[in-house]
Amino acid sequence: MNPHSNPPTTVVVIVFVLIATGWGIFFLNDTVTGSEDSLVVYCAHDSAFSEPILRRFEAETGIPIVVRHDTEATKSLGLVNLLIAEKDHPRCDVFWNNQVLGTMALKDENVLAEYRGPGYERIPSRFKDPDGTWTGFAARMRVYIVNTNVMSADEQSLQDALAGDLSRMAIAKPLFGTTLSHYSLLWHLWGGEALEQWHHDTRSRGVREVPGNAVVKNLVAEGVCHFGWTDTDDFFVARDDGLPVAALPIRLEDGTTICLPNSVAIIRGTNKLNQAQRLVDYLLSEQVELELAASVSRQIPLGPVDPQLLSPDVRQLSDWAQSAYDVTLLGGSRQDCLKWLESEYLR
Amino acid sequence: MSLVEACGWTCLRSLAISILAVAICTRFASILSRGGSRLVWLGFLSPLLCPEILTGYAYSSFSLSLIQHPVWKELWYSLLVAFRWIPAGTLMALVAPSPSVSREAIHCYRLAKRPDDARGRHALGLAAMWLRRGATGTLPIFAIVFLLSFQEFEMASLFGATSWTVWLFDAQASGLMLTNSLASAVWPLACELVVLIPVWYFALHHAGPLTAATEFNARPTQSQRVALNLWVMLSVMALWLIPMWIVGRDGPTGIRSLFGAPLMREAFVRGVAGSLLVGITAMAITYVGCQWLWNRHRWRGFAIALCLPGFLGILLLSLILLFLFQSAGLNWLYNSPVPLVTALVLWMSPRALLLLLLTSRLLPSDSIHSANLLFAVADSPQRGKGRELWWQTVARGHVWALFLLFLWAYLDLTATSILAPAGFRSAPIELYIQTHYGRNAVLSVMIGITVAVPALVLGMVVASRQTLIRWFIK
Repeated sequence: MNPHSNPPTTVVVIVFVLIATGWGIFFLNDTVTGSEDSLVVYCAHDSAFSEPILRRFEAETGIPIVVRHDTEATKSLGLVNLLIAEKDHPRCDVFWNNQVLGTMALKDENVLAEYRGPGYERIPSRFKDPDGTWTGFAARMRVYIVNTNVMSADEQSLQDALAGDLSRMAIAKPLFGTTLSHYSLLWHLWGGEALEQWHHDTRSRGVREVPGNAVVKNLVAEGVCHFGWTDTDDFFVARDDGLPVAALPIRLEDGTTICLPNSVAIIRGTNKLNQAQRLVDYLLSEQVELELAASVSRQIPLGPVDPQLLSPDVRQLSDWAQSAYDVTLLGGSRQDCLKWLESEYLR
Repeated sequence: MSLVEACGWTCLRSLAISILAVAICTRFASILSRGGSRLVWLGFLSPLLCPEILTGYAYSSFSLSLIQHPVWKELWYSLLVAFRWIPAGTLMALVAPSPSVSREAIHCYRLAKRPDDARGRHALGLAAMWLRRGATGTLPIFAIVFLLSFQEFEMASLFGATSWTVWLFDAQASGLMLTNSLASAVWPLACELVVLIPVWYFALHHAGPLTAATEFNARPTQSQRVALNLWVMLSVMALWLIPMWIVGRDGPTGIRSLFGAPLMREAFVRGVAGSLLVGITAMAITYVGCQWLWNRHRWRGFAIALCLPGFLGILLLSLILLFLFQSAGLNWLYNSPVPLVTALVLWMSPRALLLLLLTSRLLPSDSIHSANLLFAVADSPQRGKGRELWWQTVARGHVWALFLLFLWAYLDLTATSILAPAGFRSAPIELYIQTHYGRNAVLSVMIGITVAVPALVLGMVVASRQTLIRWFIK
């Protein structure tokens, strides 16, 4: 062969045969696309916590599971948008969301099927859809994270800080994630005009908007900002790392707190309804809620559990969650609020 | 901030970086083409191999700590982008067509001035010649650096920098319809076309032949060499050494944690295997496809047309393919690797074509002729020397080009997260899942391994080169 001619056909053929073999091996492994019996689960909850639970379900029931993970840090389309895009040809059977408002949007898009099983029955009504299209479980709280080296973690100090210059306060961009849920709740409570006014006021006083709640936690923990809004799971990461932070629940005017549960739903059109229902009941069980409560993210059980089995941290969170706002009221607010936020950020 | 504002801001930043590139890339190319040492070449090109997540992750805390100093944050981000893409501009300086107007031609034009020539007319002619010379020489450098800086996404997102790519991602994440996204993309596309059209025009009408680097005939001065070495040192430190140190210092703790969590370890190993497979597949199809099309003159127009979707950027391209593969005719392929590989191939095609031009441009014909003569000798040691010479002159360039394509596909996050089959895992997705909780030891180790695997693959290819060459040359 001439040294500078193209690669010989045989080499190209060998390379492509090797590639095809590689894909073949991948596809023989059911965890990539799944076999006919596999349940496809889209999961927005962190894989470190969700994966052991799903694998144990698989081992206990013999129902194979294919999981597609996503987190708020993933630069992807987002599972909610993907489910809407796939509406006409769904490949997902069960959606495990790490919050609830996106799941409500799926209900509005007619993506979800109804199911009221034993799991649904054990969750309080303010954390589940009355129509049974989704059910909440294992929640997080919205909190102020405070750097204790620069300010006291008490209500008065927070009120003083909130009254003045806000250039040392950080919040996540409210276009998505739990900050969008937080804004939607404020929209529902105050109405659009008041929220808009408040939003412009805080921005004019210099509030720092960053890409996500984990970034808020980092900025406060490192002292770049003094306080901010975040979720309890992010707060506990900083505290477990020994950083100088404390958390206070974000309370609304009437004293209610913001508690955002995980949610689980069955996708309309699934042909594995029985397996999907078994998984939903499994996720809504006391066992799973206790396991998520014992994880480093300290998720709050919403159904009845033995308090003695909870850590002091989770017991404290459970107390705060007792006065949580009813999330089932927020469905329409999310869409209206998002529409307004798009006009603010995405002109 | 509106899309137009974000687009304008990105455009200004990219303009500044591209102007800097024009000022220095030709000089760097001149020094490197006159026998820059292997170490300097490697150091200079290494930013192109640097995964954005390594830089973005390592500096994310520092960059965000500049939140109170937006000007410094902007300068810091721009500097890193310049370090990353100016080597691409320098490669373009090496591969771009020679200007159709040489220095000698301009000199002759000056000499040909007659006393009765109108002063203004002669000056205008001279200016036109300089413009044609300057445009063909500098426009490709300007264009490539501008386009790469303009399309940068991951670092901008991790640093919280203003960019149209982040704007578009935010819009998508909040549920913008595909049609609206495409409508939004008109502005950035217009910016890209404003840069591309003049390049196209000059390439077609005023470019000289692709010859060896005859334009780099001035001997570089000592101060230019020092400037190049300083640039290499700073860029390697900023993009490789410091991030690797930040990642590596958490290593022992991270390794213990990773090996103590079997499910996480298994998921990560599967992610790396998946990325390897996607990387190799997309690399092979892109390179073989582009080479096949480019070598057949009547297909060259098609090859160029195939490159156009790549300019949309990976996010928009993936969304369009998602829409297409959701449609009734193609839905049966939706849960297969086809959409993902198609996206990567289309996205990498312009880069592959550039690399092909580069490798063909840098072939020294005298060395190839020597290699040919050595192959013709029956003596085995002589043939071995011929093989080594062939490796150094021909194969090495192709291996680097293939490696770059492999690396880009291997590290892809956007297309994989949108188009991969339901349970498919890739290394970058596993990394981003971990970044939810900010910097931690496990994530550091995972990034280290993700970066080390392609290096290991390259090392294996280089180590087994004699065997590989025997495949090609009997």
